[in-house]
Amino acid sequence: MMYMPLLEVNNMSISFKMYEKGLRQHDMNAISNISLDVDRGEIVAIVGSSGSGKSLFAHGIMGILPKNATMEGEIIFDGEKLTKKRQKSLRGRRISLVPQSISYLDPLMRIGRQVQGPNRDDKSKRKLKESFKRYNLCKNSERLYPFQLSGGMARRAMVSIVDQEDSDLIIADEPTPGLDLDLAMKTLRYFREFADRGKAVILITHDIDLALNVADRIAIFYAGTIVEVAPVEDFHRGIDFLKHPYTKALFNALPQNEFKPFKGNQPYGGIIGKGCLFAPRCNMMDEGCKEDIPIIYLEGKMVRCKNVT
Amino acid sequence: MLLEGKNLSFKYPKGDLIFKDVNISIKSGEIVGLIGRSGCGKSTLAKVLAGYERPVEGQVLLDGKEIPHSGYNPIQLIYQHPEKSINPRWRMKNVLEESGSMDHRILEAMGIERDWLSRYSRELSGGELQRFSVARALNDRTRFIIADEISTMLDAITQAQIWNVILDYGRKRNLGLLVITHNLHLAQRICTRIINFERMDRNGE
Repeated sequence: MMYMPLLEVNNMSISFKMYEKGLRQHDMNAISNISLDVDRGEIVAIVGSSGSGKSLFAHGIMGILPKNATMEGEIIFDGEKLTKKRQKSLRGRRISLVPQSISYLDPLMRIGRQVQGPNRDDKSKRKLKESFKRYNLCKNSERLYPFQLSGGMARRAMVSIVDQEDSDLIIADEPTPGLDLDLAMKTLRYFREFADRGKAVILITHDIDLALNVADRIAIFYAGTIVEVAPVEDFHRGIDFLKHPYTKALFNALPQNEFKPFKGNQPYGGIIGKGCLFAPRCNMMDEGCKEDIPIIYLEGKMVRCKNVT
Repeated sequence: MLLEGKNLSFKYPKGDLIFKDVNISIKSGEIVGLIGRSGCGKSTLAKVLAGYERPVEGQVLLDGKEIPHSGYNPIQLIYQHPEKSINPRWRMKNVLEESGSMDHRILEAMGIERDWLSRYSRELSGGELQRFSVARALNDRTRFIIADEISTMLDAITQAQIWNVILDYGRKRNLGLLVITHNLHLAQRICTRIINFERMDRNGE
């Protein structure tokens, strides 16, 4: 039998229909040609700056994109194509999302009920109580509405969502800001345990330090594309083991490394053309960078750059 | 110059005491890191030092004098979330002009692009907005900057860029900086000394 990872995303592209003037519309590409797989037992971290398409990628997998978005490409989950219908029946059950901000909570529903999800039996009530305790949420916080929670409490409640169902895949979208270091590390260890129990985790973060602490592989997003996927060891071994110029720039910018900024800004979706999106900022740019960029597979990693050997 | 908080205690009208008898002093040219668990009162101390909250006891002094209550505040506080500290109904150009300055060298060093100036805050990302809230604080009349987790939400490159501009400006103008952060690597990289808020000596540092 052919080997199949739990989740396989092939050439995912998402574009938005935007109105220009009056009724004239145009498509804005938000992410293009993203391929990534995640297997049982591993944490894949998605790292990139804001606007690089990290959350959209997650929403694409969950099937919760807004109506004016069009998604192309193919998602395979547990050996079967993940159609819209299947997404609907699996999300919140076999695939869970820890959303990015408190604004994803229903303001008119008590927090306990939202975290508990659709099941109302005694077992899930018990699970809810246990996980609230684990995240230091006091007993009566179940009865509170989102506006009554502090930022940190809301964050902890959202992280506790993953306790409720026996999911195979967890997608955590920036789960740690607002948590202090202790609790952030505790949360990450919890994701680690989860992966070690044979589940798959996608951890979305802008904080590369955090990813280095817990992930097995790191996918670097830039302007809606993946520029590099590398095992976490490569980041620990040093800059020479990182291939893409953007990945190197990120690494150099960390305060424990060079703390060096990098010229230019990430381009916006919509003004994206053919060729490498990082080229305008890149020191190695040449004419060839304006053409389609091949994906290069090296042992255990993937790089989207034509100057990599 | 010297920014001093003397025997500061603070609580909100109906709440418990958030901190008691805190003493802190920052000299011009110093870069002081302030670390501590979230919820221990670091941000509240920042607001008190910048004059946005009045302490229930103690006082904040700038060179031995009270901070002026009107006009430009020489102690500029920069928050974690720029979207909450920028008027959503103003174009970014007006946001910058509020503090009176628009030094194009700073805008350039900060990576602020020309066409961002005509946009509203909702049309920019968090990282792009934070550059504006830093740029408007880098003003001739600023003496101290209190940076409350200003780069927590940013990617590493933007973080390095913003801090390099602040540090460079601070050196040239001999500013004093108070840096509140959870990132120890960052604190060790930029600070001249680091205070742990929970282990602060409450009777003189």
